[in-house]
Amino acid sequence: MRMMMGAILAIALAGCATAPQYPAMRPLTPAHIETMGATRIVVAENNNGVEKSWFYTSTASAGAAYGLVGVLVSATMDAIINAGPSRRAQKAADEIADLFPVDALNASLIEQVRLHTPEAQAAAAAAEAAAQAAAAEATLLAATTEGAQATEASATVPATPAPAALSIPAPTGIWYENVESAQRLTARDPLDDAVEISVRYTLSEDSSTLRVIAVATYQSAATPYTTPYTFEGSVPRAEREGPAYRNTFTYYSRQLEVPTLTPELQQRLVASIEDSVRDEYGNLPEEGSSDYQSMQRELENARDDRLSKDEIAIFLTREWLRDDGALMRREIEDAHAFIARHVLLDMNRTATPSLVGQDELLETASDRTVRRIGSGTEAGSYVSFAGNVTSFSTYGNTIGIARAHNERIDTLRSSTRRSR
Amino acid sequence: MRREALWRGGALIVSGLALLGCATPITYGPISPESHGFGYSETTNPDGSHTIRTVAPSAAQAHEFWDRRASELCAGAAYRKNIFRAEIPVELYTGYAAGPNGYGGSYTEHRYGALILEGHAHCEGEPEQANLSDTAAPQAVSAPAESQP
Repeated sequence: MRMMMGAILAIALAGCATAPQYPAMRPLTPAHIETMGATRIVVAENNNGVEKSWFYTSTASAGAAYGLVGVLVSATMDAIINAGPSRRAQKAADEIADLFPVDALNASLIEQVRLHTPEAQAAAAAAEAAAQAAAAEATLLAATTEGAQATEASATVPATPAPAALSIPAPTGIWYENVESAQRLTARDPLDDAVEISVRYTLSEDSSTLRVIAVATYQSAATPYTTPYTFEGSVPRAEREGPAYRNTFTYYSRQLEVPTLTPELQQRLVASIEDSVRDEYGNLPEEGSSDYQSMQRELENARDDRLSKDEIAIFLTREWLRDDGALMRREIEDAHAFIARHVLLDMNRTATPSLVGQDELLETASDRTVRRIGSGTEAGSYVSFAGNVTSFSTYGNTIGIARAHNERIDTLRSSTRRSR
Repeated sequence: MRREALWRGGALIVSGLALLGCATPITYGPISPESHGFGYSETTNPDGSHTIRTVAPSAAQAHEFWDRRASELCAGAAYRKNIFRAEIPVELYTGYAAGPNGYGGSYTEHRYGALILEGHAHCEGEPEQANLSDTAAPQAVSAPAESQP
């Protein structure tokens, strides 16, 4: 009975636990901006690749009341229930990794950041000017030729437009000086005097949406962080140390249309489940084995009248990978462009977010809006949403990482251990 | 024996009262501490459109709240709708499961949280204005492409 009262009290007190009462975003100060100027950008190498989220179902609540036996029974049930979703998530992550290895993701982000350096912008402006001049010359040539051939001697020849002036304004505030990548998986110390950008790529449970989250930080021993937030009493420890700048940038891809369940789709689903558990000789698991039980459970679910999120994911993952992953490649490029652009804009902004502010609509286009979150602990962070969303997305409580990426992570960790 | 029965009864009453709070019916209204996080909130954008956010325990209710609030903001006029966020967060839940003998154990598990729906409502007849914040550098600006509700 004492235990029960203790548990009730513990649950009651859990409600009193306080989350941080200040935004996670840390803006730079004008002094920081003046000091920083040209800034080195380091892309922290992504190691997980595109993660496939899924929901690990736990029966712990059912087993908790029955002591050790309950724990053992619920652990067995969990293994059976989760075998299918886990295997599917793994398969999806493996397939995506074949087309999008981490090196490709990292190279894409580096390139998008590089495009914002003054040198790249000058080169782009020069290329544009050259293209304009070439186009004008071609127009002039065509008009002259036509004029010569025409019977009317009075044919008007358009004047050559003046080439666009190459006026690239000198960068002010903070700008990207150069960009490089670094492996930060086992790094213990923060980088000094560099903006570090780390990114995660996660497919939703039903694979309808790709979410890309970037965290940008800047830390320098010369300009330590001073919290802009006010606290009653002492400043929390977390606000007395760490990066001088920190913010989060989230990009949601456009949402793929969720398929409707038809008898044909149901048959394809059943075939897909059976194919995924066949051994190398094409045999299904032996009757009575745990793999067989797991398969039976999946088949039962497949034959019911609704498509679960991980069943939908079987079909939508293929949509992402169609045409050599063209759709996913485009979304990743767009996400990187959004990150590169808004990190730079945000570092030059000194406004301090508030827990009770209002969202700001920064950009609206036909199919996308960019917002700055105005309230809560996420205040100050940026979110780029696609429009016309039709179904609810979730990102589970577990992720599947491709085998190739997991092996790479293990290799990195073991080599670091050896070197220490 | 009687003392234990009293303890048990007391504990049951306390648990029952605690659970009562969770059983409050979800009604349409602004999100407030009294609404247990359910309901709607909105902001008006510089272009005159409204960003409406609803939180509800079911998809149907989230949509119902959204449409109802959009209709109110547009004073019954037609509106164009563009949902840009429909998300179900996953939350960590800690509980206690009582066994048949009165004893039990605590557990922690993930559960799906309330459904969040967010989108733009652009009332028909409202003038469209370009809007960009101070930080957003040159970008084409137009009203969101929206479909009829």
